[in-house]
Amino acid sequence: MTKNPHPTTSPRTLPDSIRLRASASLAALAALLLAPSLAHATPPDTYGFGARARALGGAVTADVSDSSASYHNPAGLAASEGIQLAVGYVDLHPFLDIDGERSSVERFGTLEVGMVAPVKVGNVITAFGLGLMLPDQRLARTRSTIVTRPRWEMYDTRSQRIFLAANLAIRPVEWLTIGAGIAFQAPSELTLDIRGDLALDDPEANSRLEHQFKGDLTSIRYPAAGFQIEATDWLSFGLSYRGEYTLANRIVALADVRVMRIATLEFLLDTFSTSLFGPQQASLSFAFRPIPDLRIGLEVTWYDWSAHPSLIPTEEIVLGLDPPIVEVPGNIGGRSAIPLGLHDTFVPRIGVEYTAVRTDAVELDLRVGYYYENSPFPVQRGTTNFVDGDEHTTSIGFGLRLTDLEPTLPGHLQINGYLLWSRIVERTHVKDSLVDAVGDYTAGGDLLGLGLQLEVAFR
Amino acid sequence: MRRLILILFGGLLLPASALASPPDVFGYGPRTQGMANTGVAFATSYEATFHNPAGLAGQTRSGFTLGMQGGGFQLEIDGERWPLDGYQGTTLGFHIGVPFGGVLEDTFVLGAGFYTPTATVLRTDIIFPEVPNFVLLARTQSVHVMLGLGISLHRLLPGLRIGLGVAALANIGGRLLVGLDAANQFFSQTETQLLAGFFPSAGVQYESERWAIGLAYRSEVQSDINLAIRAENLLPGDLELPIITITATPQYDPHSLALEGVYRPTDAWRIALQAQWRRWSAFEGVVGKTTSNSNLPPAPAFRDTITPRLGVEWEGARRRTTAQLRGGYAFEPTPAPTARMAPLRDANGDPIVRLSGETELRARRYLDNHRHVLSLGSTIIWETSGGAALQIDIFAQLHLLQDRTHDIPRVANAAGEDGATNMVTSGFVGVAGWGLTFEW
Repeated sequence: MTKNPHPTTSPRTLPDSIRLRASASLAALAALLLAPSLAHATPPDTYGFGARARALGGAVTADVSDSSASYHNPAGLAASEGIQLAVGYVDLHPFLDIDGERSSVERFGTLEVGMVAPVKVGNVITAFGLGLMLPDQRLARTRSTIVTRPRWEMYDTRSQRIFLAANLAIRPVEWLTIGAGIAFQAPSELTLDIRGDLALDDPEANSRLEHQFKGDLTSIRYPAAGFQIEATDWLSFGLSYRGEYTLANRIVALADVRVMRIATLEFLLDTFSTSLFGPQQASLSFAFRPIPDLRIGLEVTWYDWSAHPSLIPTEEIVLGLDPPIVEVPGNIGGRSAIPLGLHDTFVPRIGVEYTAVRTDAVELDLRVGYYYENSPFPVQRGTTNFVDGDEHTTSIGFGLRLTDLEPTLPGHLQINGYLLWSRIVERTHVKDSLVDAVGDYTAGGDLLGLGLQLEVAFR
Repeated sequence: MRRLILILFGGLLLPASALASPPDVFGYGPRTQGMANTGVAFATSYEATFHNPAGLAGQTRSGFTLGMQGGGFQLEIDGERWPLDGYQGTTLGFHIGVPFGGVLEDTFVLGAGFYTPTATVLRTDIIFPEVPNFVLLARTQSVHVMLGLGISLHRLLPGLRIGLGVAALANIGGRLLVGLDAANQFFSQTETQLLAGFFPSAGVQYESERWAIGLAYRSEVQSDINLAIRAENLLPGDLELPIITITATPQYDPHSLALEGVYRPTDAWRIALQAQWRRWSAFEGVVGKTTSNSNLPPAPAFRDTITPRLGVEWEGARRRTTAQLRGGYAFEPTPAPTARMAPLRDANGDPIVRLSGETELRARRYLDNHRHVLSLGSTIIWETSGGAALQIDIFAQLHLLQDRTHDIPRVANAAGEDGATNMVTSGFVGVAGWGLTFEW
């Protein structure tokens, strides 16, 4: 049993006479797979999920069993030893520069909430898990790309999105856990229809326009699944997969308005932009326990970045004025997509956890983690300016457990904390064109973050 | 009858491209939906997150529920069918007792309820006020997320519970910049944001052996859309276009207060009687000004409503199997006045008065009818000797729209114009669904 180095709790067990066996659990799992569940992604793609996982560099797929399993490997939910509730806060500050000048990338602050509810029916454990990241500023932000404005694509808007995941997991035999869920993202399509009177003299004060509006936030579903295997007392491994999603926005604006009551202005705008892409990804992880108080996790994650669609919006525009009381431009050209040329990446991770203190009332874990993420973006030689760089991230953390809290708390109370530092290696973008509107530039910087989490685990 | 059956079950079987606001209009959870949306005094599972979070504290077991519901509309204007797509969505919920010990034992129960439309997360279709629109039944369908905490005060007074809840809904904001650059090349820049809105609810329940009473308050739930469109260099010289603001309220549920009493004449029967007040008079309309000085459409002029509901449930058990049958009736009065010519408003919201002294009128065709709601439902529960249970619920509702004659015709501004007569609206709505619950 290497799932949890400190099994202070035991599964909520029902008597063996219960005969709702694995078939019922599998049916529930299948039902969840077939039904739309509630999950958005992205902040965890960038920063991970959960205080312990973040302190261990994300190298937890093989043995995660707390609420962060909702993101890292849903199979881990069934390895949980009892009901767990966790709440925490993450605060990350970017210090990113382009040619020595600080870029305006927002800090990232988010509330993290997690829950795991396992139940043992006969010899089979099933578990339900919820994970929520709720950013301070907004649930989600999408911004189309301005080609001529350098943007830190991986850090600017990708993290500005709610993450809400619901998963089910099952542990049919002692050494195997399997979990799955479905996530969805919400692309939008908006159609505006504008009519009324347009004034050209002081248009703000004298125009009388009306609008009707049709909008759809639709849903895209993508799967998440994984398993964990305990090979021996000192070795376990896990594999998890998350599906691909593309978040696109379309806005169609139609205007048919009278200008100064003597002419008719017709305007059509159809703009389509990809605001967010999440690549399919797979993580393979091993966790070793050479001695009972030491745990070493090794992991590699593959990201299918080469499938990334263009982030450049495409537009179609029609503008007409009848009679032509003023000159309006004709033959207006829109834009078309530009391939981004991203390549797949493999991200290695390592995490080490050591139990430094173990008494009847208190246990203290010390953690350290590291991962290297090579940038999927090529050097920006052409018209696009997606700024990114290879990233080295180091983290340290602790977990302090209070285990003697009965009768009020039959379980334990745990405080997890961590600090992390990401170094974005400087990279120089040399343009092919000597008359490029932006020109050559060098970009790099750091991210500093910290977080605290309170976890209550019941027997 | 065949048409009714098709509508009742079509929503569950057909791919959904739907318009509706299910939890407020059709209720939430198959047990309470089978009892005409009563439940303030007796709902104790995840359904309590919507009806009365205090009810969560009445749960002795934890549970997880997966379900589905759908509905179809048969709406008519002047005897002709008015097309409105059916809706379909998934219900997901759980309730979990927080297993503290000592003085906190059996005190806290957490619950969550989710409703996710199958085809869309948020849909809105806000059209010009003179176009006929069933403004309540065609309210957008959107994701509903409800969380609740039930607190048992049994140490203070056996049977007394209180609860707090919160519903979350998204507001959409953004901007769109369009224009021409120096090379006469068109460009556009969009930025949209989803902002969270949290709306509290609270309630209290008291239950004795033969009767129970519940009181629940839900705050106003509103989702807003606010998009600003700015054009740059589209017109020559110094000519500019105004900033166009797209404002809309795709989702609105009013403040509500519900009082319910339950009487159990025998162990087998439960009778629930509820009255719910909704503050529809605070509804300001679905669309705002397009430019800073544009006129506003006629005010919706909704009025508050009080909805009476009656639910009856029978329960019988044999060995480890329990069967429940239930039914209910509710009268849902419409908050909307009849379609009529109503004052057009200036940017400040005041009626526009012409130089002649006449008020400028615009047709307002926000359609709605009184509804008579009939419901049926059933539950089968299989108990195990260890205390776990598997439960299957089904329900169906029929909403009969009471015929209503409006003050203007369907298209013309007055009866008699081109032989037009005043518009008559009628129809019915069928809703059905199921839920599968595992409790331990």
